[in-house]
Amino acid sequence: MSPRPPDNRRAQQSKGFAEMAILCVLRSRPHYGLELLERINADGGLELADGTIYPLLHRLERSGQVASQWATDTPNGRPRKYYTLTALGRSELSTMLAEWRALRDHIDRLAEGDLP
Amino acid sequence: MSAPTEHRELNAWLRQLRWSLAALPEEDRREIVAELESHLHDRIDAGMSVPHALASLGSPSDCARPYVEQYGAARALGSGKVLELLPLVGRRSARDLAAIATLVLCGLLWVLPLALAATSVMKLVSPKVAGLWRANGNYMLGVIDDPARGTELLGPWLFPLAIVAVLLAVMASRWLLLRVARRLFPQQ
Repeated sequence: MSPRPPDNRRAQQSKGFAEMAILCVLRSRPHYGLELLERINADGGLELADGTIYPLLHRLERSGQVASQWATDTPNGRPRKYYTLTALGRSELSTMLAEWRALRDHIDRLAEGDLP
Repeated sequence: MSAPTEHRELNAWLRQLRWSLAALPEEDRREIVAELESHLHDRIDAGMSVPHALASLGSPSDCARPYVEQYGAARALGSGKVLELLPLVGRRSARDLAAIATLVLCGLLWVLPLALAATSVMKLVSPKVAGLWRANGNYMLGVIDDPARGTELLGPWLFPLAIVAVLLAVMASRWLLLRVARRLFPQQ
């Protein structure tokens, strides 16, 4: 089997981290979809495609981790859907971050050859 | 490309998206289309061309697929019906070993109940030749050519046994499929 091209590997990794990144960004204040996408890609170093984030937000909303509200704050009066983090989302994020940090520590130790 | 042409292209894309989301409840469909329309207008207002903005989202059917899959999974998990859970797990069988193993196991679970059910139906039609037979030291479930050559072991008990076997197969495959589907489709 040929190794996965770097772009494809990066895209798969980005998808895996996307939910955690969304919840992290929403901790500070409500965001709309495109704003979230740009923050995650710019500050989070992920490479999410435009069409990827909305189904994820939809799933997070259905599972009660985020809530949404339409607001008309654009100069041309066009509505945008804003997402906020719920109490359940905050608790899920804490769990995800704890798991992520533990995993990252293990991978770091593996990469540095510290494990027996 | 002229502005009216681009506008038509945008509307056609949104119309196709609406069609692709036909399996969803109307309110959810309207909300998803409105959100993606808002996204497209934000991109276009920021200077992106309409064809480029549409291409960045992919085709309407590609865009709709994850939503439709989410709804399909939620519906199947909510109903707990074997006939809805089977295709759900089957969709993942191309890339998940547990899904393949589950389908194989479900198939095996149904072999004996289906054989008993089929023999029961045959027994209704030809009661003297259908059943569980012992002939020459071998056992056979089904129809025998010459009933004088063997002994039928179940008699009328074949019918309740077939019903119990089918019920057990339904319960076991439902339990198995639900467990695997919940793992494959978390948060549904």
